[in-house]
Amino acid sequence: MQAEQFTDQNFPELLRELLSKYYLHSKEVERELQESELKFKSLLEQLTDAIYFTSVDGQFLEYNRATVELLGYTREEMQDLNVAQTYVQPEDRIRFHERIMSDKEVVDYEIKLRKKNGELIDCLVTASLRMDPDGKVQGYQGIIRDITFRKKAEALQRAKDLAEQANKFKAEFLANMSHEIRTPINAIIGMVHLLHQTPLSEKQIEYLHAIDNSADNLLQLINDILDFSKIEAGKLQLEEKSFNIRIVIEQLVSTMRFKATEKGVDLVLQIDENVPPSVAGDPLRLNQIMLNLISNAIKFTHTGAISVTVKLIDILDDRARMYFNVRDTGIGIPPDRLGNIFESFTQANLDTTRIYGGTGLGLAIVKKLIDMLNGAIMVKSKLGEGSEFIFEIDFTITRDNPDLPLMEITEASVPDIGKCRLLIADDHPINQVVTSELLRHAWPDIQIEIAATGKEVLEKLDSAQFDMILMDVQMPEMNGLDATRTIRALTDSRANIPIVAFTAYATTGEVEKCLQAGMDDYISKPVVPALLCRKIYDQLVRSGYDFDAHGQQSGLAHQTVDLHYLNIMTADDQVLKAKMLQIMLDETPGELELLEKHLEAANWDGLRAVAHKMKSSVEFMGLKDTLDTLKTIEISAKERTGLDLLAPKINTVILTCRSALNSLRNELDKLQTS
Amino acid sequence: MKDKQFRVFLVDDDTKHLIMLKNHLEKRSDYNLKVNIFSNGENCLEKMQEKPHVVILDYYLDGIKTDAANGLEILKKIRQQYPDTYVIMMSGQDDLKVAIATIDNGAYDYIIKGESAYVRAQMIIDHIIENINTNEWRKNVRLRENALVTGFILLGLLLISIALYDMGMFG
Repeated sequence: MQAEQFTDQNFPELLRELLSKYYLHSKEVERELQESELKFKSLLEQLTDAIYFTSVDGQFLEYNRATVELLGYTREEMQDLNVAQTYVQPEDRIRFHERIMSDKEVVDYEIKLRKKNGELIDCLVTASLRMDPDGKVQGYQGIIRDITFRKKAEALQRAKDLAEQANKFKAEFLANMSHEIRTPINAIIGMVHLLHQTPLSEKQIEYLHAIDNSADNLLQLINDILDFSKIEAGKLQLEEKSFNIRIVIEQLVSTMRFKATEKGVDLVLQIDENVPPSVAGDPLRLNQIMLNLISNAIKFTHTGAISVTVKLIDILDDRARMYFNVRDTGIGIPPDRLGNIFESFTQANLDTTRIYGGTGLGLAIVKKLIDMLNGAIMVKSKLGEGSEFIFEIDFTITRDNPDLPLMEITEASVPDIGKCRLLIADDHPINQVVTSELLRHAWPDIQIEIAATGKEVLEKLDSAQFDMILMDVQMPEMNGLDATRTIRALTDSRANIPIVAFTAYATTGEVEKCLQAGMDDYISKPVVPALLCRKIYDQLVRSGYDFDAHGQQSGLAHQTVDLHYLNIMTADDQVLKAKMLQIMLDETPGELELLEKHLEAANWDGLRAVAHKMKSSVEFMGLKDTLDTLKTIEISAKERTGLDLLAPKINTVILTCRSALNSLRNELDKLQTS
Repeated sequence: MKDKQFRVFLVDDDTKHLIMLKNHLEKRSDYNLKVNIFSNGENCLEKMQEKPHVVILDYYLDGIKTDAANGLEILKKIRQQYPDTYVIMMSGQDDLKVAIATIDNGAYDYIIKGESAYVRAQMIIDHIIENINTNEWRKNVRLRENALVTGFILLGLLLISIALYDMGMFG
């Protein structure tokens, strides 16, 4: 403002002017102040955190809307409210007081407050002292944040973590337990098998059968639990490979047929011809589902028939929808139990468990597997008339030729392996005894050494010669996998020794590890004697083991003609049986001559054909060892392998058959005179 | 059902199997079966003009005659000349893969030799006959239906022409 000359005349005017200017200015300042305050107030009002000012004694002076909402009082009630009234625990307030007085502020102080309606809330308070310019405390100001929801979420999360951990523990516990239980069952089954070989009274055999059955059931139970816990823990991996549904189902049914026939129940299989020959999926799980359903059907059916049907429903793009049906004429399921038949640990009713046994896990596993395969299952049943389980699964159709699944190995005797030198590596003393006794029983001349650790295996290999090693995977000091790797890395001939793994967990992962480490084959515990012998024999053949040099017996001594099979097949029709015997007597000598002739002429195709044809006669005569020998002759003639071993084998066959023919003639004479 | 006779040919170089299977089929089947047996495929082919309903063929047929054609060759010939005949292949466990391959060549089904082979053969044959019977029944029904439809159409045409005639369309 430009200064003007004060004069007496103009002074009052100027003063008036100045005053009015000042007045206008202060009005403006005041308005701006009001606006700014309003802005802050509305900002505070909009905040979701409660902001408040109190007096020293805790009377609420100012507060935003969030505070009102947080505490649940009306604005009028808030005016008379003291902070102390909202505290749940008076000590909280005292402690708050002490802290704020010493530090002048409190940050994220956690307290519980009570709302007007009595509800308790968890809050975080950040507050500071409010002072006038002289430093005198006028009151407190602060922010309250409601963390009740967060607290609850945290508690829930904790509970969830705990539950998940518990479930994981449960699954792991079950898996471990099952494994631990398998080991002693292995011992029981092995010992029972050995006991069976000793002379026993009829009563003792009966008792042994009971033990054997129980052990088998126990094993089945453990396997069920293991499967179930794997599914529950989400650890079950589905495979995706090409396979032939027809073959999988047919092989399964043919293995089950024996059980059904034993009970006098028919097992009828019908597979539609338009079922695609090759699909991608998990054959093992399909097998497991069908096995559970069919064995249930056999278990609960006393008369009548079980029918298994497989059909193609339709094909959409490359997905084939398959229909599976297992129907029985068994005891049926009461209508009120149909709803929860697929739940774990349930059976049709409590009596069922008492009479038929079982865990009630079978159908739960079936249901879970079908769910995993994105399929659906349903059940129809009438009490006393039978049940029908129907399920549908989609498979992708593939073009490649699926591998044939492993053939079921029957309890056929295995050819002698003579003085084979075998090294068994197992740290479990009972398993050592069981395995070696089993093998000694099968092959009396076998020479067995035992090693308890991987290190011992290597030491023994240094000091002696072996033809084969059976290696446990889990051993102290050095496990089977490391021992195998070390052996395979050797530079001399020992590096090629056949190694068969013993695995406790027969999972694909474990098997792969064994094969990757350089093992040739594996067998899972508990060991099935026939399977073990078969695997040892196969590996010896593969490794070029010289059977003759090990003093293999001709096998003639303990073979006798057994017409049991012929009797079953002819259904005791004496005329038919005589006819069959006559044919065998007429044909066999010529076939034996042909064998010799083809061998001399090195006519391998002819040899194959004769060996193939002779199998049926030998089977009817019940000469199991000779049947096996013929099979190996047929295979080596077909594949032109091991031809130098053929001569002694053919000799054995000829000698055995000639003496068998004498027995047949006697049998025929007896038939014709009677 | 016992009245109508169905013909079955069995081909196998193993006489024992032929006898056992013939015996089983004739005794156990639900239907009246007449079973002829042949020890090689060539003999069977000669008799094929008798038009059997079903032929059961073994895969290996060279056990007696070394130059005998195998089951697959016979199968192809039968399928070519007599496509209405059902052919079931039979093989040992070891030749399973070969046997399954025969399905692609038109075999209706296959059987693995062994304890349950005879029962299975009988079941498949019974199933085939059931099919044949249903198909015949269907054919008859369709014939009857066709006759009925033709009749109706003729009747309709007649009525229309009468109507047209009445209306003086033709004169």
